[in-house]
Amino acid sequence: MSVLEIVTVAAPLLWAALGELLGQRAGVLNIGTEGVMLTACLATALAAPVVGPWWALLVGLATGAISNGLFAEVVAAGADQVVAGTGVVLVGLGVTGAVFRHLQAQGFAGALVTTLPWGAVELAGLALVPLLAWFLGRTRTGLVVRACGECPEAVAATGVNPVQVRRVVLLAAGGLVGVGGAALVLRASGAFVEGMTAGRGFLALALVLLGRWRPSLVAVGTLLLGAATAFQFHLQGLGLEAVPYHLLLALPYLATLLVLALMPPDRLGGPAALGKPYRRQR
Amino acid sequence: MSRWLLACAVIAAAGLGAVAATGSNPLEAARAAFESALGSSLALQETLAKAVPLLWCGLAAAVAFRAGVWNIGAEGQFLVGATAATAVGLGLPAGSWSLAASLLAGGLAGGAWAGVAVLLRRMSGVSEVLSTILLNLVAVALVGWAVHGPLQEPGRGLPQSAALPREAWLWRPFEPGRLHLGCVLVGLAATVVWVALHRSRWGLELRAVGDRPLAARACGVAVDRVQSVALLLSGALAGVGGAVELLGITHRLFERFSPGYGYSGIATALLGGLEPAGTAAASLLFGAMAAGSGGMQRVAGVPVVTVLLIQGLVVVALAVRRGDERP
Repeated sequence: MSVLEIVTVAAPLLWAALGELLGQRAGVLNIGTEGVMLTACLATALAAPVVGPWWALLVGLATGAISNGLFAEVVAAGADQVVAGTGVVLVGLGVTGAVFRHLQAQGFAGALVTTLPWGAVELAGLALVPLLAWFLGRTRTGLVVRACGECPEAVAATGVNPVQVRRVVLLAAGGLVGVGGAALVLRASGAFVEGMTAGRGFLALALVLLGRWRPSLVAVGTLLLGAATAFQFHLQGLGLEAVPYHLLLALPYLATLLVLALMPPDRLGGPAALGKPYRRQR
Repeated sequence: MSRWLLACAVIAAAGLGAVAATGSNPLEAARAAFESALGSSLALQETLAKAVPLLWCGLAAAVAFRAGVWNIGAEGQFLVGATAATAVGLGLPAGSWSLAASLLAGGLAGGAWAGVAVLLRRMSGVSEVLSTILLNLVAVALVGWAVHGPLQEPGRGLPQSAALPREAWLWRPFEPGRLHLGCVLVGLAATVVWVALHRSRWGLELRAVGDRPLAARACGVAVDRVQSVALLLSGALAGVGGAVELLGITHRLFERFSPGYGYSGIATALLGGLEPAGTAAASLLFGAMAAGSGGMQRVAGVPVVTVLLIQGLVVVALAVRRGDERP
């Protein structure tokens, strides 16, 4: 089990978690990341045989951005983020399932001929960690983004519209999640399978919380989970069944729950306005 | 009322869109959907049978949401309820009371699953949104493990449990139709939930906590306790729902036992305005949609999963509408 392997396994989740983090720092909790990621997976798998893996990566990014952009419009209209996010999960499951089965009935197998070479998505994901930390912590724009997550009213008082800021941030965040989905198709599996994200979008939510909304900590958490997953693959490869395979699948979720349970309550801060709809004052 | 108009508009638009995408005749598709949802006694029974799990999960969502607790975990609670019912149903000697024991086990397991979220919330301040989502994923893995391991049907390599003995099944009065006694049970449950919400002190406190938590606290209501009980009850309802689906429809446990009933239940409850009666009506509408989608798939080639897409769109549309209403 090498470092390279861990990074490879963790990359899709890392992109998704960083996307979720970005949105949450602007005060938007997107439960629907799973749905967004799944949609990006399908778009990538459909595009790859036609335009090649590199353009397909871009298609995944754009699909994630557009899906999240639609969610942003719903949020901008004042919808409850948890409810709307649940809707996004359903839409993501439904739309990818329907399109894929329809195409399958017409003979589409969903397998790619070429996948991306190692490195691009993985290394860019790692590079994004300090970049995002710098952007959020050290730039003026990043300050505005964070302020939208802490106190959108204060942002509005400076003459900036927090609704607009959240829109743009969610587009970018969706792009990151979309790259995560594309990475899953173009690097890990080489094909689209129904429900292939297998809870990664939900895990991204948990990782943001565990990493206390900091890119570096979120990355550490993601890599630890990646190591656990890679270790699990090795056990399987060796045919060892110390723990039944299906229980191993639950391991990341159980570990996350356990860490959450052990964390002292006051450490679970987070952006003050997270999840709260912002209404423009008149 | 406009909630229903909005939902019907979304359903019609998405349905038409899906039919158009497959290039079939929309009139024929609509007729096929109607035929297999309402066209015959068998179809009607199918609609009712499909409404049952939606209403259990819808009631679960309604009870929690009314108390201001975001239980996204009905899916997991439904699954562990079904798993517990399987274990009890296969483990006990068959008899009329083994049916009752299975149902009870389902409710207890669902409640316990929600109880984990309650504990995490009370002890470590973990939001139930996150914990219930994670518990859903654990439940999926648990079912996978159960049907590959301890509950797997002996002698066959299939990832499923053995069928429960016939005596433990919920009665089907009009066979071969799939309408079963669970339909009555869920009707009773909806009535009980209505009475509890609107004719008891507990229900008044619960609604007060959901609507105005600060005011409720100022009036001396133990907000945390009310919300914890609501989440436990919500989990129990979803758990019984899983047991009922197992005992009434599938009679055995397998992977992907739930095609997202827990999430669809959220759509059902929202469309029903978080009221038992409305949720029941919404479950009938979605039940008809699920039954009708079978016909649509045969005639127009529209995949059945399109139902999830439509429910998701309904949730999003209703979320926007609710956002508009609230000042």
